[in-house]
Amino acid sequence: MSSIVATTDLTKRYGSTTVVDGLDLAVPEGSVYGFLGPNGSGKSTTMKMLLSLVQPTSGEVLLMERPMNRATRRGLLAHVGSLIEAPPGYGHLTGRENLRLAQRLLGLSERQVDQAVRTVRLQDHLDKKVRNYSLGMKQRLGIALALAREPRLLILDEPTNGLDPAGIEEIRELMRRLASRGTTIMVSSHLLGEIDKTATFLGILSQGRLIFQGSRADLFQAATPDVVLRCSDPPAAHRLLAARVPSTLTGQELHLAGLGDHHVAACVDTLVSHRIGVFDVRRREQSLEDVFRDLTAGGRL
Amino acid sequence: MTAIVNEFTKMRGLRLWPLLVAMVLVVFGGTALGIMSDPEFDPGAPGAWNHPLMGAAMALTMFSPLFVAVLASRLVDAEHLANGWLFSATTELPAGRLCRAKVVALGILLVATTGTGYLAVPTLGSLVGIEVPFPLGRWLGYGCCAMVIAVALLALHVLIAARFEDQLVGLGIGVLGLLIAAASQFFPTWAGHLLPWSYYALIIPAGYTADALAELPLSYPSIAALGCVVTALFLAATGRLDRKEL
Repeated sequence: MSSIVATTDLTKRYGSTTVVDGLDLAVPEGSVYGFLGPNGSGKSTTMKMLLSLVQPTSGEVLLMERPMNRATRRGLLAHVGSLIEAPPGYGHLTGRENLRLAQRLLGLSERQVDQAVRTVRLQDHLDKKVRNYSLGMKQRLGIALALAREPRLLILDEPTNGLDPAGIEEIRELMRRLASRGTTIMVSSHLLGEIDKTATFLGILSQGRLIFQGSRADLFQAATPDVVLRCSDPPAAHRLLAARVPSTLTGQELHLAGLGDHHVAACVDTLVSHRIGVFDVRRREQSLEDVFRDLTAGGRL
Repeated sequence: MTAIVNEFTKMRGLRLWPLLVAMVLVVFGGTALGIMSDPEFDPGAPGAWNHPLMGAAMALTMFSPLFVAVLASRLVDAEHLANGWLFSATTELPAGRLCRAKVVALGILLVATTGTGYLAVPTLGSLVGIEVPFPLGRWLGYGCCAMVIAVALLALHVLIAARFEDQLVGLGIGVLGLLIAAASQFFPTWAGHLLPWSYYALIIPAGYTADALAELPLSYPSIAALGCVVTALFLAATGRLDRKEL
């Protein structure tokens, strides 16, 4: 699968502060790429570099296999729609007037604008002033402005920020529809549950570094869930194992962190050889949130 | 061109009309005051047109600095509120070009409004029966000089409004500019060249000498120099804005 976005050692420094550090992004074409990271991890800065709104300190950005620079910028951005930070919209103008501004600037047809409006289901609200829109409607207007140029790539920076559950569901449903039509979507968020439900590929940023990139399945394989062990003498078992492996005793359960299968077998052997009965050994179920928290807390993969 | 048309669309709903109407009325009012304030005004006297000219000039001097500051602030603030800078940059319209489009659009509005108000001079002068020939060249000369200063101030205020999200900064500078413009009549000529607002003092068309209201020379070279310098600085500043990271 080709990459519609590819970066090589992409770095951004402000003075002595490195905000983005050596990113090698690869966004597969046709995917929904979830760009995850805690607040301040460099997601928005990375997206701005992809859109040439911010110049990288070093490294390269390739969009649609062409390098992004002053000469190619105009041609490349014609195929990219974006919603960065707050949704744009002149509050004193109607939705229709806002769309007309973009239509003139981008030389779009009525058909393109109309299709974008119908995709986000805003056609019944175009004659209202944007200041009277709900936050969800403003987000949809912002997405319509991004979609109107029929982009191959849509870059959305935290599009569900501040939305209620109904609004979040609307945006999620919209992204699914767009993805089914072949639009590549790169969406950043710190709402891990939302990304979990929508993204087919993930990139996880922590302190400016890409600590993981791949499919959801790859991520869960890379992360090692804790082993939960129940036995006949938990305190004794904890004393026995704590010297060798990271072990915590929670009630009657022993939690062993970061152990591969062979190490787990060795631990069971140890307990049995010391006449401690092992009742139950299982891996703790991890959500994407658990994996993400573990990875970004340690900055490790 | 498209960007300029868009600026006129953005002006809808900003309630600029009351301001434009006020500007016209102020110039008409100032012109009338120029005629009525002198109890010895004689419509047949050779210098009769000096009265309405001076009245219009005083009104423009006193009102233009604040008028321009408010116009610039209203249109530029819309970008701050709408995340318009970022959105425009993604449509290949960087901040500098956007500012230039705003100055052109507002400049057209400013010239049209001020010009309409300035028609008060021939209109009211004719109404009160001034008999001497209308000094068309002088009237046009002052009008053009006043427009150059106003557009120069507009360019400055658009940049201030773009730089500072808090519009009180620009409006405060506008009020300060009004005071400078009013006080500059008492500055020595060289001091009138120091600040854009003080250039109004260099183009006052008529003033009281020892015993009468007399015609005063207009400093065309100074105004031309102001226009050139402000244009160059504005283009440099907006060029820098075009390259600024968001």
